[in-house]
Amino acid sequence: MSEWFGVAIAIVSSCLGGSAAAVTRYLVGGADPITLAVLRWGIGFVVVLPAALLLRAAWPPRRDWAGVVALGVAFFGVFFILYNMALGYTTAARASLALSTLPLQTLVVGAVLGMERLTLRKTAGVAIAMGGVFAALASGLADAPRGAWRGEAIMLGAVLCMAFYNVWSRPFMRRSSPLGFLAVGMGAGAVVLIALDVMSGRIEVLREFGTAQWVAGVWLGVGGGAAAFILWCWRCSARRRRGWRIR
Amino acid sequence: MTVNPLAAGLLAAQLVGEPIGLNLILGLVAVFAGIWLATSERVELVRVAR
Repeated sequence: MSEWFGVAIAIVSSCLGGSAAAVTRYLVGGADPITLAVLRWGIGFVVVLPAALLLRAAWPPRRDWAGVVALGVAFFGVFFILYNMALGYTTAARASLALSTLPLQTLVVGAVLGMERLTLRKTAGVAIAMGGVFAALASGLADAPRGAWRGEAIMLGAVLCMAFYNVWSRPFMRRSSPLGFLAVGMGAGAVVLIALDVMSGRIEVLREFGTAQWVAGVWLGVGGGAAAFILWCWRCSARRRRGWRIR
Repeated sequence: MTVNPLAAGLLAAQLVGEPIGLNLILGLVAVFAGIWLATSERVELVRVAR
């Protein structure tokens, strides 16, 4: 895979993620955050598991399963409940703008955990991006839905959690494969979400779904859940196979 | 990551009629600039000898 093809894959994956934010916004009036997460990761896992088996992805070793499951529940469960809550308050574009600070928050978390050196240049990059996002969100608040700031604050907090997930995932992925790590974590997250949804009775809301909502829900799982993450794994694996590493 | 809000905004405009303001575009430019500045130093990829 050439580097340009890899960039194209990353762009498609990011577009699928962005489309999921818009579809979540479309569905959020008729379903709660847990049910939306069930649709995304329940359906997503049904696609990801066969893909991992067919592609013979390397699974995490037995000693890593507790860690991989815990990270999966934290990311696919907790993070995406917060993500869906955020989209209940603010627009898809504003929430996604807050989400786009993820690489920079990951860099800061990496530095806090002693896994990254925060140079002056990196600090300037973080400051420019975060300053720009705050300025953009604050200046557009008058045209945003009432209470939009709550959604953006929830999303920024959730992104910080995801940054920890990114940093803590690295050793587990190194000892297995991106797709194997993803499948186990997604499965664990989906099981917990479905259990919560069934026990709270929220899952009943799916009975009220019409055809349009089901089409949107399936897209959320297949496009924004499975396809976006399988493409991301493909790019990670290709880079690993070619023997690239960061110096 | 900077493509994500663009896709979200364009599809949300079609699906639920949400506006995409100039401020969001400027915010995206700031994120892109910040990521470029931070990663153009960090990512020095080398091919590992096998």
